[in-house]
Amino acid sequence: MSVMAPEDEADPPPSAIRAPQSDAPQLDALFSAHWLRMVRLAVLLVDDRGTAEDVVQDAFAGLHHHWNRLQDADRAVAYLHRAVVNGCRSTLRRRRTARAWVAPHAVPTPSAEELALLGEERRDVLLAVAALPERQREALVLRYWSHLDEAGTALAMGVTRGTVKSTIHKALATLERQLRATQPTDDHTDDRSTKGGQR
Amino acid sequence: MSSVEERLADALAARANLEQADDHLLRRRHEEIATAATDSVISLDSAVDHDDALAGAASLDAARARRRRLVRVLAAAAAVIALVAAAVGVARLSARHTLQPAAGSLQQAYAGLARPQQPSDLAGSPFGDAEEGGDGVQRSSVRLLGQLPGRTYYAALDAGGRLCWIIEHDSGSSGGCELKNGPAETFELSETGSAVEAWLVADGSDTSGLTRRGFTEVAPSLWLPRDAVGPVTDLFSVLRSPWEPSDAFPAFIDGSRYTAGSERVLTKTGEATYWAATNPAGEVCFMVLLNQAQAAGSTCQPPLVAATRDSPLKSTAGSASVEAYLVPDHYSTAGWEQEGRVPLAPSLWVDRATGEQAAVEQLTAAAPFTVAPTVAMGTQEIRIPAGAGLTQVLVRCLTASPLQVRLNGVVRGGTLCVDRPRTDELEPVDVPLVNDSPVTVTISGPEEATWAAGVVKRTPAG
Repeated sequence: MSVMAPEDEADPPPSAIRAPQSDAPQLDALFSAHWLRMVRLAVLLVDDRGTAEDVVQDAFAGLHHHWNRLQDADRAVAYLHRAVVNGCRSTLRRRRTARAWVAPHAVPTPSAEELALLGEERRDVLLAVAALPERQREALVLRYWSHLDEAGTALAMGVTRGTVKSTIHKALATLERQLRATQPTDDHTDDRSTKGGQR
Repeated sequence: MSSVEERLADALAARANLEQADDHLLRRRHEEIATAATDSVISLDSAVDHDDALAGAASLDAARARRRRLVRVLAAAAAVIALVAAAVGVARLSARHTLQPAAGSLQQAYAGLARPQQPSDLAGSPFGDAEEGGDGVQRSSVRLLGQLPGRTYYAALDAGGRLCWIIEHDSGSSGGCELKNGPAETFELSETGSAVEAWLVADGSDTSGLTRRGFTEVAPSLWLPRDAVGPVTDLFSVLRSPWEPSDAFPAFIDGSRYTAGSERVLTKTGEATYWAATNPAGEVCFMVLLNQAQAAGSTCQPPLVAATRDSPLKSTAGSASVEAYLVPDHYSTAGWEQEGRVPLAPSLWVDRATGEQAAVEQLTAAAPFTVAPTVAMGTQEIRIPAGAGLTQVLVRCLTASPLQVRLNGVVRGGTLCVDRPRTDELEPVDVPLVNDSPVTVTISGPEEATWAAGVVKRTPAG
């Protein structure tokens, strides 16, 4: 089976035909440039790939739908960030509702294999991030993974810059506490190595 | 970047990079997107998310301009307003079904907005240091509607004359504006993820629906669920403190209306004694006894009302007059000092004249004075005459504004009046022994700083 990247001009996807001809290349370019990035953002917020892709697909569908009101790459990217964050929130809200009715283990989490690939230290960080309140997690992901500045993070989250600042401050403090708590005490290790050296 | 930030960025990047593009699925998704985009049926959740995202993207240009102008607070408020505008539409639609709007000028149509602006409307609000105009909220229109533990409700008009609200809470702020300029309507103050439903009610609206649903008007125009707060003992820590015999009412006060043993003295001055208590209805009661006249005034409020707004109690007998405020633990008193109110004791504020008199009385009790107590605002000098011996300056703060004491130009005693656990303590500043010349004591603070001070003799240490 032949695999075709969306930017391959030889066989334009149906979306390029449905959208107005003048807008199609821009929308396709946005899709090519931002699909994976948005999926990764969503994965960092909702934990599983399938849900993340659904959220991002919905965001891109909205982008197509509202393209005549955006017509600008910067605005489109801002729209995507916010739509993805909103979509993840809605998903988590539904998931929380569902939690009352289905077993807690039904909530998707990164697989053991996935986490094993990351190493213990990174896994500790990710588990600590996952344990943060929803808004704090969003702020950290947008700031330290999407590398949005404070204004961009505020825009994506729909809060003030001050809130972003204080949310990140609180989140980092919690994270630091958590990580310190999970860190093994080095005293014994140091003792052993010192003794070993003396031998 | 700190070590935790570096670890965070690294872990997020590693996790994200586990997700790789699958070209086949990518193509399928691309096709589905195009199909979904032409589908006019969108779920409610999704539609709200998209409208909100659209509003956010549209505010990008405005955000850039605001960044240049460095009007940070106002700009942030505008972004928040834009963010929830769509949600407002939903809330308004549901409101139309249940409540009838009132007609008339928008600001005048809500009692909570029609009153004159007070310093406390702005002091604790996100608009306290913002400039007027622009695309944000009109500063002069901001009104504090009420406070609950963890959240404060404001209403205002934006530059376009639309009615807006802001809810400041522990984790940030929420807010929104009506979609158009009027007419006055009753609508829900939407707040992301809030457990407390609040309604802004236009004057003359039919509120029977809200009443049936268990809401009550807690402050002008603001309706909240009756069970929005817990018992009064949760709101006033003074009511949880152990009872002391000195808390008991004097014999001539009929205490039968109050829960036995619930009364607590907030403070006693020469002029008046102040109590908080509860009654069998679960209300918080506030009593002021004018000591000389043996005349008492009292008021009782349900927990929700006591939590939401300040309720003054004015007691007058002959020439004695006291205006006092019982303040719940969570309540922000920002701006009260500019309104002529000063703290007298924990949970208790009084009018400035009463506070000044109490401060002077307290200082006078520490006599003998070398320099008699005086009350002042801002900066003032006191002169200690030559040969006064060992002395001490006693300062009684009436406001939380920082004060500095200088002796012959040299700062002594650090900064006074800020971060004070109690408002009724005296701050002593020792004066070194100077026998052959006078000492100039300069007490300085910002214009609004109010204090009383006097100079007393002190005995040598040890």
